[in-house]
Amino acid sequence: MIGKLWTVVLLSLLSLANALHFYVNTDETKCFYEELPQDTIAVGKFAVYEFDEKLNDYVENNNNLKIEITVDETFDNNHRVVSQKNSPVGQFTFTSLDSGEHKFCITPKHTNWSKKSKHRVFFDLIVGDAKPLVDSKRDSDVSYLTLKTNELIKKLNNIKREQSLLRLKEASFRDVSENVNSSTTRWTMLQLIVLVSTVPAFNSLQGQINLKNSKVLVIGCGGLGSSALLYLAASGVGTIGVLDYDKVEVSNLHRQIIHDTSTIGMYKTESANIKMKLLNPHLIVNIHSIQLTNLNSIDIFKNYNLILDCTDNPITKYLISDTCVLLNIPLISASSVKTDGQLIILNYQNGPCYRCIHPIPTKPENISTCSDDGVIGPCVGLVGTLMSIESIKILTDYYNINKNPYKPIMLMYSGYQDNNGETIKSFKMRGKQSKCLCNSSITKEFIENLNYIQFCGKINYNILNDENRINFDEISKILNPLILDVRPNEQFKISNLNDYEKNLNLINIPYQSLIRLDEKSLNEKLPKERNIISVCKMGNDSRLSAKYLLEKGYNVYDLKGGLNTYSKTHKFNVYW
Amino acid sequence: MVVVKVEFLGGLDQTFGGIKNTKCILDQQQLQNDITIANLIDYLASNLITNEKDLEMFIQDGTIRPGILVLINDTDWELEDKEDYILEDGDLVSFTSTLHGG
Repeated sequence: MIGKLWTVVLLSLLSLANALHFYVNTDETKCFYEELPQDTIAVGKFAVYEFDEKLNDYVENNNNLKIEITVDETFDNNHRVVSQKNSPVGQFTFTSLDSGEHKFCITPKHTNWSKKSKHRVFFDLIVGDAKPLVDSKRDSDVSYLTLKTNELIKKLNNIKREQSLLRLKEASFRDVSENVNSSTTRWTMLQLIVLVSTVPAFNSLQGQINLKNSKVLVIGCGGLGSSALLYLAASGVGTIGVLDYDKVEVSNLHRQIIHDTSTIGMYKTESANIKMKLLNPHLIVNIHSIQLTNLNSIDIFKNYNLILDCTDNPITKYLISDTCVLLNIPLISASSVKTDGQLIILNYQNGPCYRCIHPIPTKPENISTCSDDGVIGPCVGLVGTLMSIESIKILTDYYNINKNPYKPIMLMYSGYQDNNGETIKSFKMRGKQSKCLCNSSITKEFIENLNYIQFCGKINYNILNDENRINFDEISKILNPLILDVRPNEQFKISNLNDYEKNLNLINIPYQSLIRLDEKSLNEKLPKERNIISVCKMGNDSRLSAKYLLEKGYNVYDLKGGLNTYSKTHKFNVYW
Repeated sequence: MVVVKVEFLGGLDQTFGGIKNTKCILDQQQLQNDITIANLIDYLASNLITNEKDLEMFIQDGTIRPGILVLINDTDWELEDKEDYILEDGDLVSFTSTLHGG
């Protein structure tokens, strides 16, 4: 602190007079700091005198006094640029190589062991040119410099000329290199095309051109959509529309391989777009991050010439089929659950529509979905791949109406078929049904006015009174409680309430098993005197179970929101 | 007597105790006419299904539940005579649930 203060004082002095005068003891170092610009000549002049006790004055001492001078670049780890020992009166010169703060230090030293004494120091630092380079009064100097300057100007002009020449050469090299680059890309693409085009049924170059001119809409960027989109993008389809309102979650990734850990939280459409553009930068992708409804389906579909239904519910499947019928667009419809999958081409070459095959919707309680029942990733992926194959066949006119017309088939894939069974089957299916609505009844008004949700039916989970629904913390108020977990056994084994809670009475009877138990086994497993708390993943099946047991005369409560709600405030191994 | 092969696909095996493939021997003696698919369905419902809830998964309103496709020798029964198709020895009858996952 004091040192710094010193510096400040010294610096201010310097700026005033550039000369210092101070006292110092032998072997004591005094330093001060000076900011110097780059390539500055600094000349330090100094005179050091020693105190003579006899004369009671400061006198010259040329016998055993030496002055140590150091200059350090404080901005560069105190790199020492000057270190010399001088006689008491003298000067030093140095040129600063870099601009920054320099530290000047002076230390008077005795060359023998004589007694230490006091010194008076005069120090003068001259920064800049010590003397003018040119004396304007001397003609020889001026003419010499003029000569030199002219020479330099000539050299400079030569350099400029050479530089512009190099610039021109560089530009021509760049043009050549860009040309080579684009040729490489073109030939690579052509190579790919040739590879595909040499499959005779693909229809050669015309087949590839047909793909390029195609516009395909893929509805659902989940398990089916993932592999279908990847292959369609890679095959050279010109425009692909992606429709999905969902965002990528970590639990999707085992089967929805177009997404990855870096796109979690992103719209599935955006995530799919990134991966497809990496595969094929020439691809045009239309992103529809919205829910498909009977009010927007016509507007979206009309821009495409092939639709892929990769959705997971009958409501959307009927809507997609109806819209395709109205706009006369072929549809590839597929589904996959657990280890199995199905694929059918609809509304193609006067073939059947979804309603022809399924005139009456399956009841919602008879339907299981991927997120409830699980699915083996590659099984659903294979069905998505089959969709991309059928897409390419349709788009390249493989099913030419004159040469090779399409006959309705349904592909059935059973991933875990018994050893002696067929894994992939091809079923010959019915054609367009004369009684079906698709013959004339499906109009814009029909689609916009039909309540598809009501048509397909919906399970009503709102079947319990409030007094039969509780939060987890209220369980402690219930006497003799027995917690009934109605999830499938596999899910119960992954994690359950007893993983982190203590002393809970817990029993696992899956909902589908519960409703199949006879009276006797039910009473054995669930004694009537116990208070039952019904639990499941999201709190839907638990309500159905609670209602079922209430009607059997049990005292039952439903855990509101299921384990999903519980896990938001308690430690739980979430697997969904 | 007619011996036919039956397979349950698309998860429908769960309704039949996990059986995916089976052989059914249908006895003609009690019946005066030929044995049809309708007879086979009755046979399956009464012999292979033990629970009433599972029966609902197979038969609704007196016929095959909506959402189940029936195929005779890999052909949609709509292209044959549906319930009235007359079974022959060695016929393969497939029942498959319609899937909805994606």
